[in-house]
Amino acid sequence: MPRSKERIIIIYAWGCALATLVVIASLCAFLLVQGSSALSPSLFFGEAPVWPALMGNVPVWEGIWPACVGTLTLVFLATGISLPLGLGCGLYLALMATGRTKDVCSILINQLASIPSIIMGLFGFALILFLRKTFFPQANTCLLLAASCMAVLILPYIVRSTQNAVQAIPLSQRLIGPSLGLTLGQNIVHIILPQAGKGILGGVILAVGRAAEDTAVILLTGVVANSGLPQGLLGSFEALPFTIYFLAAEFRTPQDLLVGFGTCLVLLLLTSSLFALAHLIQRGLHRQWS
Amino acid sequence: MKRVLSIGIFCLGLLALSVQPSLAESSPLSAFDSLSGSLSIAGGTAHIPVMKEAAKRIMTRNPDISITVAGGGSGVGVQKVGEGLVDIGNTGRPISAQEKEKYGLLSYAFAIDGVGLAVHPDNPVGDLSSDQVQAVFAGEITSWKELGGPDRAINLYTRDEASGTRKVFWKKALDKGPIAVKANVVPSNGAMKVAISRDKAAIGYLSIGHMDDSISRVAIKGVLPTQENAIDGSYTVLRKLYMNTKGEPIPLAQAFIEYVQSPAGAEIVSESGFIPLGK
Repeated sequence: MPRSKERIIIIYAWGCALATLVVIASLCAFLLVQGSSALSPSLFFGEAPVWPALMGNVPVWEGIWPACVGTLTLVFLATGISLPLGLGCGLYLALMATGRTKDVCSILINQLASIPSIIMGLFGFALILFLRKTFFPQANTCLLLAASCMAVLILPYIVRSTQNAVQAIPLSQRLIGPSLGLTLGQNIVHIILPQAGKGILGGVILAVGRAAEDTAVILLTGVVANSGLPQGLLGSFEALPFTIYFLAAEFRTPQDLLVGFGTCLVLLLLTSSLFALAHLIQRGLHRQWS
Repeated sequence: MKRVLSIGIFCLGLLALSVQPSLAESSPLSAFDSLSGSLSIAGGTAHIPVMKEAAKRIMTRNPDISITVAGGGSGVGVQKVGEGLVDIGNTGRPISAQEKEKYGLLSYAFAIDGVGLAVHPDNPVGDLSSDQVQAVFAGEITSWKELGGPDRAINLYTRDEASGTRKVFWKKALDKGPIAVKANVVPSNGAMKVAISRDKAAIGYLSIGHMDDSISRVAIKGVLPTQENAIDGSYTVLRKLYMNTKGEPIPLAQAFIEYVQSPAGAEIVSESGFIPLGK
């Protein structure tokens, strides 16, 4: 390759990286400028006293605290349902599946990844209607349903990242365990998972971000505009994306819009802290395994 | 708690003795004192502020009642109440004959929502004929000059297909005429207001309750879109907002509907930018 071409490729790559950074930075700056003035206890608790409201002892009417708790609960539940499934499925595809089975599974996972989230919401809604007519006449939209639909939505991210991370481990390393007499299970726990941890974490971060921001799934499956803190798996719940959506659609005063921007900022901070948490967990596990 | 209650009742009693002949009318919320349990509401997004405020007042008065308000749009409101998932389903349009037939719904109108034309405050155009409005939205008139404004291309703004606001405007202001493909689609009343207030060449339509000084109202056939004109019947691009129940409402839903339709509810409706509609 001639020198000039080399140079062009290098400049191009640098430029793209810079452009991405600029976009992210300007988005964050925009939200900070618009929303930071709204950040105050009253954004979270409205007129309610802070401590009792924090504990859920008094209802919060104009604040976003219940929505923060609702979103956190939803994210943990959805990830909790999705992670074991996705890990197992990814390991199967990477280590055990062969030939036609693998192809069919891969196609299905890709199909699942391409389903729009509103369809997932409609599916959850239809599922409840079906359950009401058959086994559970008392079934209704709730936190568990929303979390389950969300889990299905984020499943492909975890499956794919697990599969890719495991397949990226060199064959020589993958075979060390069995050659020393480790069983498949021991090999997975002591060698493969610690090696693939970082890659899997990438998928989990994508999944968590998606679960925290998606509105369409929860809109039909249990999110409400006022419910206080989540009252168990079968109750309704509030969530930050729906709060933002509702404020953006129905705001009447600049103050309402300001609260909307403040809520966006809180959602951003919330997901960032979740990512940090995921990172810490991964590092901890890595140490423990190896 | 008991002491507070007894003091409260004592005060109410005093009030009743001094002001009114009976205790039952001492507060519009007293209908809820003997009720408890939960009430679920879903449907139109525009209804949420009214429902939320009513729920807040009722639950503050009687903590044994829990009311949840969800969105989803008119279609979801009908389906959820029809399938028995919620007690009250809100719609920004009348229930169709098929929906009535399929689910056996009863409707309770509680507010009127006017939809009006608006332009940027700097735009001198303030009155259009029906034909002009239709021609503008069909994309036949493309410059403000043709309407007596500056020499500038018209930027059309419209709402998406699912919008109740779009439906009423299309039916009553455009006489079901076409909306140009090149029109910019915005997702909500709030977004429409922001778009028009920032674009000097804009024209769009939004709920009258959302109108303020950041935009300039445009009269149709000489009648300005204001709450007063909507109330006295001279402005006709209106829709009603409904609460719907499947068959006869449960006692709590009945009380809620009556409260929203009462003078106290009318106050909430007005504060949310709609025109109250008594029983």
